[in-house]
Amino acid sequence: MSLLAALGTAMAVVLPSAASALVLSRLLAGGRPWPTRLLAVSLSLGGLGLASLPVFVWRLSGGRLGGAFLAADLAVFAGLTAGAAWLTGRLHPPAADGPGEPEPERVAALIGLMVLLAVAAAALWGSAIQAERFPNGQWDAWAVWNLRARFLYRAADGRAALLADPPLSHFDYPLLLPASVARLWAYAGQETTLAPILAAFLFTFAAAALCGSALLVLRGGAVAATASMLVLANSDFLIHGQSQYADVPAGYFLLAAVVLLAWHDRMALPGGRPWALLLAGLAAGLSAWTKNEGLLFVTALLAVRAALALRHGGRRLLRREMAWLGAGLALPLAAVVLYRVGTPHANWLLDNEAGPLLDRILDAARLRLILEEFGRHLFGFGWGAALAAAGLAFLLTRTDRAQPSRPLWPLGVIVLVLAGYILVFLASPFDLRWHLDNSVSRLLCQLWPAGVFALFLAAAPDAAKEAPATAAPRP
Amino acid sequence: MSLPTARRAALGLACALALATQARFVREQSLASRQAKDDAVEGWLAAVARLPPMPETATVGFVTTVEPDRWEARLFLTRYALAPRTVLRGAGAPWIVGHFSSPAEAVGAARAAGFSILGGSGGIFLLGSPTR
Repeated sequence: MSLLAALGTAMAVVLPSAASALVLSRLLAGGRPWPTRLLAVSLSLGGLGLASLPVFVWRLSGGRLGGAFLAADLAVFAGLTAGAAWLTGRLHPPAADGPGEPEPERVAALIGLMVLLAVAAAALWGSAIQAERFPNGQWDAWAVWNLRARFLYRAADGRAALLADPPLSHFDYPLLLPASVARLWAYAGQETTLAPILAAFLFTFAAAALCGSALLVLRGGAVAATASMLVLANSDFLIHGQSQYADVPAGYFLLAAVVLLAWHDRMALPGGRPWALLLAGLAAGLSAWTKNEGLLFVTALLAVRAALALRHGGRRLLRREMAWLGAGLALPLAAVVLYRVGTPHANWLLDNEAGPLLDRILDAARLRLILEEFGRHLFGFGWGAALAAAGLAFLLTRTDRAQPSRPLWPLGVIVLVLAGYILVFLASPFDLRWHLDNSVSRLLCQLWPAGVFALFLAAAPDAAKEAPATAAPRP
Repeated sequence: MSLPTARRAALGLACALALATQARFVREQSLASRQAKDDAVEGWLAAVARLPPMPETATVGFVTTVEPDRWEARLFLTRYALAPRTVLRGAGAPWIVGHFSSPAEAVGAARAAGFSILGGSGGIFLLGSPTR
């Protein structure tokens, strides 16, 4: 691969991410500036996901991913960056730096950071070995995700590429990852395995960075470093990430939505526009544009947040929250609907006949097998060690038992999504053991970063309580 | 004021478990990388890429007489290599990519389908009509 192709690939990532980071660092004003900037940078990979939407529209309208596409893509993101810089300069000014964390917390954070760096280096090393051995990814990468990217990039007729439906290749799956890879190839000017490898690395490590930076803002440095290292200390998560599947990117967007809502609850300035709600809706929508399971997540998230809003603020708060979340969801969900309606594909799960659905759902033996399989994966190698560490940290960091508002709603969302997974398995028309063997580990990877975040958010004391932030918490 | 003992212990334990998990992950990956590289994927993709070109809109059949229990992986890899062409299992297509144990077997398959061998190497052949 030429240097020019590598530069092109890098530019394809940097351009939308820089635009996103700029907007996010201004919209998420409040709290100490440098942790907030770190959070904005961790969230900025969302820009790469967002950039997959124009690829879909461009191909749907028949255009090729050539020079005209690149010119339009460059113009859009350069314009967005400039517009965002001008517009957000008129929003909240950045807050002054706060007093920081107390001395003992700083020492713990420093130790945690050093171990995190060692864990991250090991994770990078192991992932690089895997990428070198499997440059085209594992089975689902070349049978589904990268195959789809090749259709999007190579086909002269974009609409035909979108309508293609080769048997067993699951072309009904949404397009965020394949369209992102195709866009990287367009910028590189050639197909290179660097593109899917880079996307895999970015989403895997950005998930850990996002979990850590969000907890740095909300819970302090020691908790942030511990949570980040636990996200990376799960070998299943690393292996699935570098397999070039869409589960880890879906997990990144799922985490982003939860993080933004948690940030909104704790840090949003009173009386200001709830931009974080809009961004959370956007992230949740992008999870549905990454994998079909994202639709389950969107449903669970809206249900939990609606219940929370009704309980704490009545219908007025419910309307406001749903309106802003809905505004964020609109764009990616419109793409999902357009894709479903405009280019109908066979759905392997729904189009299979396997006798009465109700019989399968009410079969206790099937439920037992599903629960056993989830348990086996949760407490197997990788998950087991990491979960044990998370659980212990959970129990032992509960120093502030009188903390009035311990946010449990993210755990509620995760439990609902898990319940949804179990229901889908119960209804599965396939051989259940085969279906579980091929899916459970990947599904748990989708929930892993958000699960670690939710656990530590609920367990650890509020950083803003220990070290007062410059922004007033929401009443 | 020092860090509460419980928090110190939790942090230490989490760090130790995370490091142990990562050490095991790196060791397993390193051991795997020392084993003979499984070039089933890369080798197959390279062999299919060397076949004579076909039109982008071609529908291609895929047949194999070698390791028939591995047909699914071979089919997906062929589809991946030839994208955006439609690659389906079976010989009922205007072009056939076949995986045969010998050139003689390929000749027989071509004759049976009324095709010629248009190219191939490493046991992977493209069968089709030379006038197409």
